[in-house]
Amino acid sequence: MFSSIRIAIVLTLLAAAGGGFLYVKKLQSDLETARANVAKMEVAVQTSEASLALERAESKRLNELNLQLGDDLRKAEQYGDELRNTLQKHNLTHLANKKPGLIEKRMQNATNKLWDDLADITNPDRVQQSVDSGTTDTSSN
Amino acid sequence: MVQLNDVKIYVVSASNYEEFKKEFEAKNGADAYIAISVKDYENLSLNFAELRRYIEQQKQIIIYYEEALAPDEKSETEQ
Repeated sequence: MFSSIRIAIVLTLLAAAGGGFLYVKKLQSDLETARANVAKMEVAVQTSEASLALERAESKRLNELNLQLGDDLRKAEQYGDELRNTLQKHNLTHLANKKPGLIEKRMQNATNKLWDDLADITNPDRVQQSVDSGTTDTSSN
Repeated sequence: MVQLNDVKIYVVSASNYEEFKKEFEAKNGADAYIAISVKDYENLSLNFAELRRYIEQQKQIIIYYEEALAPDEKSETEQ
């Protein structure tokens, strides 16, 4: 009777020790898995942060380009505005009556310059130069 | 690129009309010409200015897209 109780106690202790051992093994395995997952998450976070930084830089670059475009579109209106001002300032009919020779020369020069400017702004090489240099040129105004 | 032909302009008033006629006939061999009023010349100039504005703005839009679609050199060198 007494020996069977001892055997039962020993068996219980062995079972408890075995269970504890298995439990610790499982904890170690879970810990390893958790460490591997943390490492993967860190890589994922780094990738996400890099993507976010790239996205922010791209957004900033496009914003700057948009501002530059708005500025360039306004500059393109400069020639017409200047011409309108000049025509409003001077009475061309009166001047043509008074000094036809002088006005003829000025009109001829302005017209020749306009043809040159039109040829210049439609020159594809100039467009390519502007793209390469990252700047836009409206100096022909 | 557009290739444009030269255009000769004559400004004629009562004070130089006879002189213009002689010079014009000597140069062009006839006395038929197309006249345009000062106001219409102004309108023609403004029309050309408008065309010029349109071309210039289209050019700027092309440049914008070229630059916007170009790969970012800075981020490429960083990678």
